[in-house]
Amino acid sequence: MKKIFTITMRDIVSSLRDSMIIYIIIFPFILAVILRMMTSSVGATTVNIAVDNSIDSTMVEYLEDFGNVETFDSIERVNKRVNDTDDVFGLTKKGLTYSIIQEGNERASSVDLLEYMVSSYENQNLDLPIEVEVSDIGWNLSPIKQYGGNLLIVFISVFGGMIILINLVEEKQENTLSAVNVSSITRTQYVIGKGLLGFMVPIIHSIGILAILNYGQINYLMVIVVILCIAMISVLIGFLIGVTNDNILGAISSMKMLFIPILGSIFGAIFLGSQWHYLLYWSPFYWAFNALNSIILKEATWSGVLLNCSIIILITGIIFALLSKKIKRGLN
Amino acid sequence: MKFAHNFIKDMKVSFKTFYIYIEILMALIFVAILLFVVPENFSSDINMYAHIDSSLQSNEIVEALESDNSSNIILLDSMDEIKYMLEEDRNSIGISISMVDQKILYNVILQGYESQKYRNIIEKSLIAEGIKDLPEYGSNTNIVTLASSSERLSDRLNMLPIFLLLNSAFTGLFIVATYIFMDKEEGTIRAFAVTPAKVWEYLLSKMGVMLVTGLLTGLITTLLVAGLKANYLHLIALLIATNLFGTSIGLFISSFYDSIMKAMGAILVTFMTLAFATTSYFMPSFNPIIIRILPSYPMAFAFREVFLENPDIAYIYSNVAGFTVLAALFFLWSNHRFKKTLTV
Repeated sequence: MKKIFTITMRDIVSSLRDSMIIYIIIFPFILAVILRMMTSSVGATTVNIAVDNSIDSTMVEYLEDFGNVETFDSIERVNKRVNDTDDVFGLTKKGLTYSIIQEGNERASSVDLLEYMVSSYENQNLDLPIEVEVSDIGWNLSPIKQYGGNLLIVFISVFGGMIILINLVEEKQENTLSAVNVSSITRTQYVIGKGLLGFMVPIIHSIGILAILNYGQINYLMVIVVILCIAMISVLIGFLIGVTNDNILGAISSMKMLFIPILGSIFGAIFLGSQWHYLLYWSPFYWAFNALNSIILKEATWSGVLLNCSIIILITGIIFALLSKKIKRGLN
Repeated sequence: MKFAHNFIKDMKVSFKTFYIYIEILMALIFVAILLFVVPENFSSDINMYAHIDSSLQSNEIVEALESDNSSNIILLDSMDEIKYMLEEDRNSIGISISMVDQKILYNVILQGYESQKYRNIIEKSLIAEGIKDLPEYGSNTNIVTLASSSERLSDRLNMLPIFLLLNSAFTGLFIVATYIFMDKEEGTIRAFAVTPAKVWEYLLSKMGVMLVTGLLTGLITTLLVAGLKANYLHLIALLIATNLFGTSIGLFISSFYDSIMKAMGAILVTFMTLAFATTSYFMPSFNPIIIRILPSYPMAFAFREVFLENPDIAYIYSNVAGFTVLAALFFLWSNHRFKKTLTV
């Protein structure tokens, strides 16, 4: 046990010396803070409006109840703003007529919304034949926060594997890997010692990210179980890339390849209809995303989580069986 | 001549380490996902679960609700069913319509995460829809469209600029440091120090390899996904300028560190920060200033112009010129720094 911790501590000290581990540990938390700021801003803006000085201040105040209003001193500047790359509508008034200015490539329904608002303002003295009440069912978790946090956790789980592979390639370059082979430490102790960091880092990340994004009372024990399972695949890939590459160039670009199945599985799970999800069953990242989704929604049961975890372990086991010879050979 | 020699040597290394093959493979996987997994267009319509009181003409109301073409109306028998469906489908909204005191009451039921502004819009939209048939209603708005032939890309094609940005334009940002530190580890730089070659020639040859890789992956992907629906002249100009810019940033960051481990952390942070521009690209109405000032923001939209029938040439080439100048500045700055540190 002591030998295993010696290996782990050695990697931590080596990574601390290079500041890499500090970046790797802190960076996901910064991303989570940015995501948290974004989720609040995304909900706040629904339509962006640029107005010139023909629009009086009462109308500007009225429009601010619906969207983000920017004021310009001429119609030319309003047109320039509308022509910018983002979606902004212009509004100007000549006599009694309002003109809504659009670039033409915005979502078709967005311009209707601004037209509705202007019409309602102009007809606000009418005796309304209808009444509108708006209520909700008390669900405060927006889809962008629900999926964003989940994506971040699964994506970040790769970082543990990345530390392992960089350490392994460095050891190969400095010939310390061969030195380990003639020391008293066994191969298993060495692998566990190296791999521990790949499990510890994602657990710290996931708990931190979930706390920053504040999902309320979720079951952190379930989160740890899922992360331990998904970390297995990252560690395995970290080892595989680390031992099969003699140079950091090949190793880093191979690791970059891993981004495709991760992002593909997660975006597939979000955007594809459930009837197409079987296309993603091969991916352990899909099952991890599924399990974390139910935990974040507070709908997870232990049997469901364990089923997802079993599938991840099964896929990892198959990959390990296929690649174990290659890893063993690389460690020699 | 020395530059050409260095460049050919570096290209050989990129083949020997399988780096270039990995980049091409990654581009092909991306193409396969785009063509076989991603639909041509996603349906972004949301479901609206509605219950209409039996005393009302439900057909007319459904027609009115469907008029904005942004939601699928699904009729249900009771308010309880609406609430149940809202819990099952967190992207949906509900509406219950009944007659109260000779007025039609629209009771809109949202999830709870929607902003107050969104709620206000829903309320005003329904009111506007409800009053437009009144005799005393006056409409005095008209809609002016600035661009005579504005077009929207298909959802599939709309993803291509992001790949071109993150993978082809920023390939050097991610990899160039690895190249330099690999040379350091293997002692190539010490060997280089005793040759008459200049540091800038060494750095330029690295930029050349990154440029070839970026152009190769960008053109392969575009050719296979967009075919002839792209202007390749504009694309190549933009790929060259943005790739040089990305690599010069990578060189600049690397010049502050003496090992790949140290540099990689800073590069990852830079890369992920630049990647945040993609959120505003996919949600153009979400455009905070913090995202608009990122260089990746205009780059993404400039790549999009390449696929339009009537691209904004001025916008594309102002990006090309701007990023070429920035690339030159960062390259010169990196060269200045590396002259002191490269062979240490």
